[in-house]
Amino acid sequence: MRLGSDALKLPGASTLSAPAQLEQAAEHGLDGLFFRTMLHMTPTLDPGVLREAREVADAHGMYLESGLGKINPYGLAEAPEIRAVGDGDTVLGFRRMMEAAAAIGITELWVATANYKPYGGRFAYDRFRTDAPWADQLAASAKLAGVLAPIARDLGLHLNAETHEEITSFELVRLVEQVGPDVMGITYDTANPLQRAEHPALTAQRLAPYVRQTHIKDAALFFDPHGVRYQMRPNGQGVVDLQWILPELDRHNPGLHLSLEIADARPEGGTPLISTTRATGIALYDPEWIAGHPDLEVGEMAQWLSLVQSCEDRVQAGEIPGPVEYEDRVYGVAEAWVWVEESLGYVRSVAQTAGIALSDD
Amino acid sequence: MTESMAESMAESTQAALLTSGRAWGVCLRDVPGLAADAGVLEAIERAASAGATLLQLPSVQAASATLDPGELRTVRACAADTGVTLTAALPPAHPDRLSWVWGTDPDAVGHPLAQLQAGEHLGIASWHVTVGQEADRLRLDPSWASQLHRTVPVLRSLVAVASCPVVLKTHEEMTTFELERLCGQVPGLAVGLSPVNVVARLEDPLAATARVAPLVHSVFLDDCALVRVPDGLTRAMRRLGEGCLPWADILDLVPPQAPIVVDLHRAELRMPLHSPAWLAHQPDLTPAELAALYARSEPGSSEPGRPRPGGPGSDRLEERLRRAEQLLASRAPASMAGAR
Repeated sequence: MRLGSDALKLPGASTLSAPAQLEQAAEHGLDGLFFRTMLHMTPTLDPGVLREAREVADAHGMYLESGLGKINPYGLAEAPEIRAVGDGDTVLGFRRMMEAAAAIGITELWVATANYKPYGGRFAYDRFRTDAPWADQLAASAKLAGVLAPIARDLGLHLNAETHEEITSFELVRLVEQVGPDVMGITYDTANPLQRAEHPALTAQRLAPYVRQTHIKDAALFFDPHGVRYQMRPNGQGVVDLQWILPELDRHNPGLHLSLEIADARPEGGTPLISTTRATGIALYDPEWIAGHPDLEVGEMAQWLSLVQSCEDRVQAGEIPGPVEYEDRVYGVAEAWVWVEESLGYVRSVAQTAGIALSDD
Repeated sequence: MTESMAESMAESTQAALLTSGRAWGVCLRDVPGLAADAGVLEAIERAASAGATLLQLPSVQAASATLDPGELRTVRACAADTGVTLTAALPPAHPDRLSWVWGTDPDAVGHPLAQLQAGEHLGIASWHVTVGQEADRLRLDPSWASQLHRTVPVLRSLVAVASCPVVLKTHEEMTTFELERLCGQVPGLAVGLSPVNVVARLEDPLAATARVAPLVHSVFLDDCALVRVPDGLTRAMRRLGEGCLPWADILDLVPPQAPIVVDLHRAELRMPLHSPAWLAHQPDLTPAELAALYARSEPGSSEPGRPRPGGPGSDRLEERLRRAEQLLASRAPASMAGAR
């Protein structure tokens, strides 16, 4: 396994070119970068930029992964650039991105089903849209993935649906099986399923056979008058114990790339997307929220609640800061790189304990 | 639960209790101002002067240790004179402990059959029974399902002999799902609803009440907080109206003729739901009900394993007894008679 990072949340993502981001990543000891989409690497799919990115990655022995974007037609209007790169033909836009990826040897491509929204309560997640039932959104996503699948097969690519915050691991496995695990896999974000009341150890067991890309991420959980509050923390400082996860992933895919995903650095006083200033999205005490999780079983929910309690106990013991105090901290570029370093250290220590080699392919 | 939510619940709960129009009773040990060595006649007098129209005895032996008919009739007359209806508990009905809890001689004073007969002299209006303890539920051999199955003929035998309602109380070992099924198998069996007990089985008090509402004969009044602790939840007793139980909503669901009986519990119970082995003994529990229960919970103290004392009110027994006394004295008169 190799240990790198998502590129989108690293400092410089909005200002540096893809080749420059790779150079920066190499300086910080990252084994590779996972660019969120091909359009993040170059908005025009410039072949020169892409070739240069591949050359820089190869020169440093780094892995290179990327993505396509949302495959949920109900959310595609939020990403007009995909349709634009196809000159108005959305599927052509996806094809062009896939061909550009294949041309530089990228075979693993991230996809997802929605974006987090800046609303309070369950409406932060498109899972609870009132205009488009979630079952309809899942069906439409599977249908579009089915349209893209032959293109991916011809090009030797995998489309890897993320454990994004709105979807459960149960639904993801069904999606992968429906489209075909030969062409569809999973991008395993290790913290997001906490927002679906899933316990990381059980999520890992469900997903491990299908995982092809990762966001190695951690979060803390806190009780709240309306449910449970989720807040990203550096790896090893939340409730996602990678000792539950890395061995499972290594067993199924020892060549898997582990890509950190850190919190976006923000200007002083900036509010994160998932903020304590809004009602929590894990609206556990809202009957509609519970009803929206038909796969959730009480045993897993109880184990997840134990994680929340453990965070509360650690706050009371002074071991970790509470959510408001933590959100109020300064978090700029310097702090973002500290997050990277702390997370790298934790992942390396877990890998070493588990006897998992973090090395070149 | 926020502090403002807790305060408004206290006000609405007290208002609902005081204006319910139900008959009010009290368990003997909770009678206001009753000395530990006081006799049953004094208990009746004190209950009546406190405003209660029903007194639940822990056993008919509280009226006469030997079940002497003359003594029982004297107690009955005192109750009648003061307008107090008498009810009584029977020995627990667990099928594996009948021989040493009930004894083998049906005429012996500790045997339910003798007590049921004595109740005729005493004028008992309803009999109240429980089955077991949480430890019984957690046994693997015999299974809890087997124990419940064998409880059915025991309960049938009590109902057949009793000349007034036999009421199975929601107790720490049994869920309302199981209670409802038992009542279906034992025609004539009624339910004594004690919402502070259902939480011990991780049942939301309102959902539990809805399950058994048509079967409810009596409602046992107490209050508690659900405190989050490292291994799950703890039931921490609270003054009436200052816990998390939605008494206004509970009373809306149960039959209007069901009396309210003050029954202050002493035990703090732990629900270590983070243990899969313990949780496996709750097969009827759903995520929806567990979430509803957590919505009523409050954080624990800074000491892992110890719930925070107090909350909006005091959890000390003396304080709880004084609050019960105040409510008894303040409640509106019953609009209908008795507990039968």
